[in-house]
Amino acid sequence: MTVLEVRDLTVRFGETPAVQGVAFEVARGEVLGVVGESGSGKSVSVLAVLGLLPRQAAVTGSVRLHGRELLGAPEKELTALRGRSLAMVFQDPLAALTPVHRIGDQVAEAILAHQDLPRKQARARAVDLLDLVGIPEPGRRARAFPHEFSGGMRQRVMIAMAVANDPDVIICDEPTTALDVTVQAQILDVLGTARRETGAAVVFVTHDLGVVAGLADRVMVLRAGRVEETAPVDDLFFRPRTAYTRNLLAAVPRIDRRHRRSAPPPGGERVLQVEGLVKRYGRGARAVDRVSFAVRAGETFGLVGESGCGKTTTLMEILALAAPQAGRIVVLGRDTAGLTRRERLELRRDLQVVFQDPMASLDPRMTVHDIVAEPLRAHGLAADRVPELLRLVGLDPGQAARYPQDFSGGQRQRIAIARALALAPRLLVLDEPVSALDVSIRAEVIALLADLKARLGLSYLLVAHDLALVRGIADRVAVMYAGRIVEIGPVEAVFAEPRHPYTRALLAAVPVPDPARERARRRAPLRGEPPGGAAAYPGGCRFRGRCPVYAELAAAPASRCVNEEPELGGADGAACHHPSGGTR
Amino acid sequence: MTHDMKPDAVAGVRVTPPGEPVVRVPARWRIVLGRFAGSWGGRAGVVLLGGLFVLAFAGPVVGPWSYEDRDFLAFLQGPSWAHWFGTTQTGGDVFALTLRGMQKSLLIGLLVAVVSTGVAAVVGAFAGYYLGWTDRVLGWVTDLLLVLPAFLVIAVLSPAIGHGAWLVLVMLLAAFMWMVTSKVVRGMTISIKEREYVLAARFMGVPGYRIIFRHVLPNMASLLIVDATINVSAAILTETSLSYFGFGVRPPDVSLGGLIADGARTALYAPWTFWFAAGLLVLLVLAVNLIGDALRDAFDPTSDGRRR
Repeated sequence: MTVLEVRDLTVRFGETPAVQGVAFEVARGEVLGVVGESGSGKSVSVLAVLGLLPRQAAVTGSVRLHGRELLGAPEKELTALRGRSLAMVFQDPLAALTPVHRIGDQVAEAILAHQDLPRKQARARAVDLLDLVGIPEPGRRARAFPHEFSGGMRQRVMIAMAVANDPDVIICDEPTTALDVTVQAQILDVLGTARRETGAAVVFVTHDLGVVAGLADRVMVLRAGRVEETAPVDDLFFRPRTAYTRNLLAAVPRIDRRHRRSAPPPGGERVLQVEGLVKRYGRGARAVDRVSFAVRAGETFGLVGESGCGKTTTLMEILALAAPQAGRIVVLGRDTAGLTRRERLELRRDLQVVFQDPMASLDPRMTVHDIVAEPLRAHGLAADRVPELLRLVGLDPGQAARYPQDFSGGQRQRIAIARALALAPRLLVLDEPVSALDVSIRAEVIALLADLKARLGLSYLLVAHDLALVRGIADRVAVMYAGRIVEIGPVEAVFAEPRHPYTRALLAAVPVPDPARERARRRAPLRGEPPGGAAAYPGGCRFRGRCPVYAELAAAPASRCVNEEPELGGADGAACHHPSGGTR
Repeated sequence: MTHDMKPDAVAGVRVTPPGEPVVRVPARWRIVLGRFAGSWGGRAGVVLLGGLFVLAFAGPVVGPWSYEDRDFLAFLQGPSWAHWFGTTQTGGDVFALTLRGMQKSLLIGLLVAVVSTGVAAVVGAFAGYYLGWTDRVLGWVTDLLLVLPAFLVIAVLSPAIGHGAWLVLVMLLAAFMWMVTSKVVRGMTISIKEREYVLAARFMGVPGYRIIFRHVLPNMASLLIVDATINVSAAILTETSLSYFGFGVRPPDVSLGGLIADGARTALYAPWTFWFAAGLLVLLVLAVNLIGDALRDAFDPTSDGRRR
């Protein structure tokens, strides 16, 4: 039974159409995935359905809920529908919760807005809903404030509010984009539960094809405001009809595929060596605790982990080229602790960085020429190499007089790479270099990085939370958890046969753009969430609170996890007391 | 590949087709100037301000009277061929007085604004960028100046300045106008400092003071320009209140503010004593505002009318 039917939806902002002729329908209990890159009009489409677009947007076409036309309906009627028949879950759960009210009250408020219930009953229902979305101790947590909740927990609350009034349609706009993979897997599970409980139709907007593969029944691909194709999920992934969809699928890095790559030069010299690095902020817990690894010349070394695991802190410590709080950092054979100011400046030429968001890492008030010339000038070199550098990263030097905001995301990242290459460094630190980019542009930038590495003999230290990307381009990888490296090794070995239970859970949580595999997957997402930076570790294994292996252990072996902190090179090479994470 | 050949490796990928035209990229100040000159507001502001300067400094040469002269045959007369802007109660020529006052007010207003905003920017940015002891010391100075009663200090010091030392007055006025802005600048610096382009500059070895002038301050240019624009009129008005109490610019010398204060008393029945001075002050503030707006847009590369 069709619940929501959209026909010939067109949205114009002034003269430019943002969405043209979009049509779709969802039936009860069905999940429709809406996929597209930025600017494809996917968010605008669903906001138009909800009637939440700004006034200057001209919306034409037809949106019918249970056969009732919503476009042009009076605002009062729409308000009554929103939250009751039409529920929504947005990307940023913090922005959607009022910071000064208790979580339970906010959920109860969502119920009371549409149902005539005594307040007490609404509160009790709120606690039930929090329980449904998997919030532990819902009775107690209902009295907490939003800032006491982590991102994943907040998103659960948003889902609880969305299902509070038994909606017919739940519209989710990138609900897991801001979350870590293990948390994303949990939230997707909760959404599945919510759909089963309410029997609602779900419209799920995302840029991540992997998420759609496991969740959606049908998928609609949008491109530049038009529907590229709509198909059942299997057809879309296995028999895509349009070239665009095929390219989109091909561009997604696959975590489940082995990659052929030229072997890095064996036993190259160490361009970077980190030994027992420690960093703590103030008196808090150590954000980075006794981390050791080395990057060899000509290799790409990946550092992966969830947010708050200390990977970015590690990078910043290396890039500061200063004496660490404890441990040693050796860059190109020089210990950073004993550098004079002059030597540090010299060493900076060999160590450069590319940041995650090219919009944030390029000064909006400088021309591209000045941006790329900045490192040259800082080192007293002539700026005449700028055109050559721009050409090197595939940009037209004729555009050097323009500003970063005149370029697309991928081009901006190329500018950032050109700047990093200006001093001809030997080690390039890549901090999430493509995670702010669209899928198809990601592939281009990754190809550029690979090409530059081969041509210029660079070494990369790559920090990423995207495991598929790391599998695609890294030679060796280290997995971090709560400030420590839990597993380290050649990328194929770690990904094909992960030994630490955390690595296994992390890999299992990554959605694969393959519906058959996603359905067959044994859904056992990791419980709990990555510990925040301030959490103190009382000793023993830091992962044991979430560890599926620890949970199954007998008392005797389990006591080791409590009393003794595992070190790398333990039973099976990983930082775990139990060989192969206790599976053998 | 060994590292010795690396610089060549970069040079080796040169794919410049010979004879390709060289792309000229103008320096930042040239771009800003070009964009400023391209806006009608900026041009109008400059013309207006230039006109006021010419009037203030060339006018007295043309006019038949000096600001110190008294025409005892014409007290409180309206504009005429002899006295273009009329006369005051004591027979002073309003045209000469107004221009003399404008000379002072132009210099005081513009200089105080530039100096105080400049000090605010530098102090705030250094405090916010370096934090630690720099911040503490600069913070103490700022707070100290904030709690000092500026008016009293200037009033007490003013007899010691002596006549004609208007530059000292400018410094004194500026010294008490920058503190609040510098606190705002400090806060903005702390947030801009966390941006990745500042981190990137640090990691490429750009020294801190240069980061402040290249990345931090240009990114708060709009705040600084608005602040300076407001400070022009604020300085003129502060000087006025000082003059009113007999400090600052003292008779027989005059300032625009002093003239307005005097003229306000006779404005109802002898409007010429008030309206010429007031009108010129309005024109001056208008010119400064036009220039400020145009400068702000010129500094901001996103303001090309691309706003929807």
